Amino acid sequence: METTMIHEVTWVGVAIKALIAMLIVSAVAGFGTYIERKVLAWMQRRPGPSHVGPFGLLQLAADGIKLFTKEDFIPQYSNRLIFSIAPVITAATAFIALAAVPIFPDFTFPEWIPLLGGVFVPSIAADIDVGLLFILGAMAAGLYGPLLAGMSQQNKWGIIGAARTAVQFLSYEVVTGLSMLAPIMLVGSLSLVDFNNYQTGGIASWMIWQQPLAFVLFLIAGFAETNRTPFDLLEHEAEIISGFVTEYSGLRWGLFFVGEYANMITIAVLASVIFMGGYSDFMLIPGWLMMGLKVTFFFFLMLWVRASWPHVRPDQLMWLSWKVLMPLALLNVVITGIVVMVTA
Amino acid sequence: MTTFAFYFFATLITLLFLVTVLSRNVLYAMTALAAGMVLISGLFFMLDAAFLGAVQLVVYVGAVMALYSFAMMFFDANKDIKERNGSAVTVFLLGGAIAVMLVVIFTAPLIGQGVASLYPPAEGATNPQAVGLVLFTKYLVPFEVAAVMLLVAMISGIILAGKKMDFSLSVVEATKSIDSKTIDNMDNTEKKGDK
Amino acid sequence: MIGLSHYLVLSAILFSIGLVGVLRRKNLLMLFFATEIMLNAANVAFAAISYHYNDLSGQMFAFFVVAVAASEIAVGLGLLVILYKKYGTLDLDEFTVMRG
Repeated sequence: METTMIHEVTWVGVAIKALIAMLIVSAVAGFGTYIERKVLAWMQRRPGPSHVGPFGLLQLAADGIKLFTKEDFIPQYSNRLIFSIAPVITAATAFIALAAVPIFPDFTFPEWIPLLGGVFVPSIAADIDVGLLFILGAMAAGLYGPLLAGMSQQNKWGIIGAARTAVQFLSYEVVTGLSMLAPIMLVGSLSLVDFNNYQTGGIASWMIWQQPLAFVLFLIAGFAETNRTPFDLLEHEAEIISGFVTEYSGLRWGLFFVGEYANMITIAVLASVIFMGGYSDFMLIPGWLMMGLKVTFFFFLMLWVRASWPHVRPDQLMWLSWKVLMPLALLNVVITGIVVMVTA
Repeated sequence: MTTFAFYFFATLITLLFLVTVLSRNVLYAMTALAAGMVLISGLFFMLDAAFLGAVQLVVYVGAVMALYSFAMMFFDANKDIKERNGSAVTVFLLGGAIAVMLVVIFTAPLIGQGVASLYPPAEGATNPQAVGLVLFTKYLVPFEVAAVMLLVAMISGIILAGKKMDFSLSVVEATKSIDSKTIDNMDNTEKKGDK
Repeated sequence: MIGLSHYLVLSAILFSIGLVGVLRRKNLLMLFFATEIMLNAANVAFAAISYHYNDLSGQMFAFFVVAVAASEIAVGLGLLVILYKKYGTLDLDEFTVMRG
């Protein structure tokens, strides 16, 4: 604690941190589409994007041009105002949630850099007392994007998508919260910096060994909350056209997309910080590289799961949440509580 | 800075809640209310009640308003509500007068005498820790009663809304149409549904 | 500088907005919205008093208010759905069935 108090957190540092987070997430959201298509193609034994540029790398630019030049379409009988702000809500809440997530370890700019020399950049843009709860709340507010989008567009597929959004997010928020509760009880803090400092003692001190059940539950619920494929019911193409994005096109659709990728990164970072040791150094590998590797691993895991699992039915989704995951999470909390009580 | 933030939040919240109360469109009302709730959690963060702010975000914005919007799926959200309104002036005057009276009643003793702090926050504890310390010592019994109240509410909600939760609707539909009618009829109903 | 009275006045304004809503609205869903506004106004006052008197009791009451609101909608929405299934509307004027 003493060493961290020496550095004064200035608004310049926070601003730089916010900028870094924004840039990285935007870049990953763009580049992630290419990775996703390539990895999925590789798993399904087909070439994937290969025509535009070397290895199809410029496919990204082609997609971007298509997105920008597409007609911005608003259906006639829709609620225009709500229809326009819904994608913004998705993207904004995803980035607001990132404000309380530590992405890289804190560092100080070396003195030789002009203007910025000696500026301390904290690991987290806003290290508030209730960090984890704030992230949960901001991600919970994110459900208004799909919800309002679906309800405002006067399209029955949209309404079905919105209804599924409400049901799925409400159910799986419970699981996420309960599965995080057991690690919170062990660490005794809601701040993600404390979570990181709790697991600095190498691989053996990682939370995943103490809380394997919570880790699995958190991952499953995280997939559901980020709308990844086994639980991709909000915009399940085979059933409900495109769900809440049925009537969207161009940049508004792109905003939904950016929001979804930002949420994926948030979940990946949360999983690495809470359960996998966070951004502390690991043997010779510096912390920032370690963090990058972990986030990449979780990102890859999401694609892997997408390639290997079929969609679930909505009733199976509810069954899984309320009859399997939530009792398991509660059981985990109770057992952890007893253990903490006995050992303390 | 705090002054600016306060007036910023206060103006926005007031405007949004006015939209909620006066709008004819349920969708506008719901969106404005949800946005107002988010901004109120901003007020809580300003008041050093970080845990309360987070709870406001998770419970009010994430759960309560989402449940409302889920209930709105049953109704047509884009249609304007038709209501028979009485005299608006009377209602405004009455509402304002009652509210002012209530505020005066409840704040008069507060201004009138010095109030001593009963449970000050623990020294050196963060807000969630201080809240936990008071909640699980001085307010333990109300806390448990609140838990029982939530349980009762949950059970009654399930009983009220979910009478036929045990069977799958698709199975019921399929058996019904095969039992009573022929497959031709099934095609007809599907076509009807498409229109 | 923002003092306690600023917050109390804000809370009073929000509460009266909610009260106007309760008096003016005839749609049950809108009545629920207005009730939520009033509960939130009370919460603002609780948090402000808690901050300015350095006492956590205010925040405690705000938590219980949130719990009450949560259980209120669980029951209330169940009733709303049943009412809508039965009458096909949520307008209070349509529910005057006791008049004979």
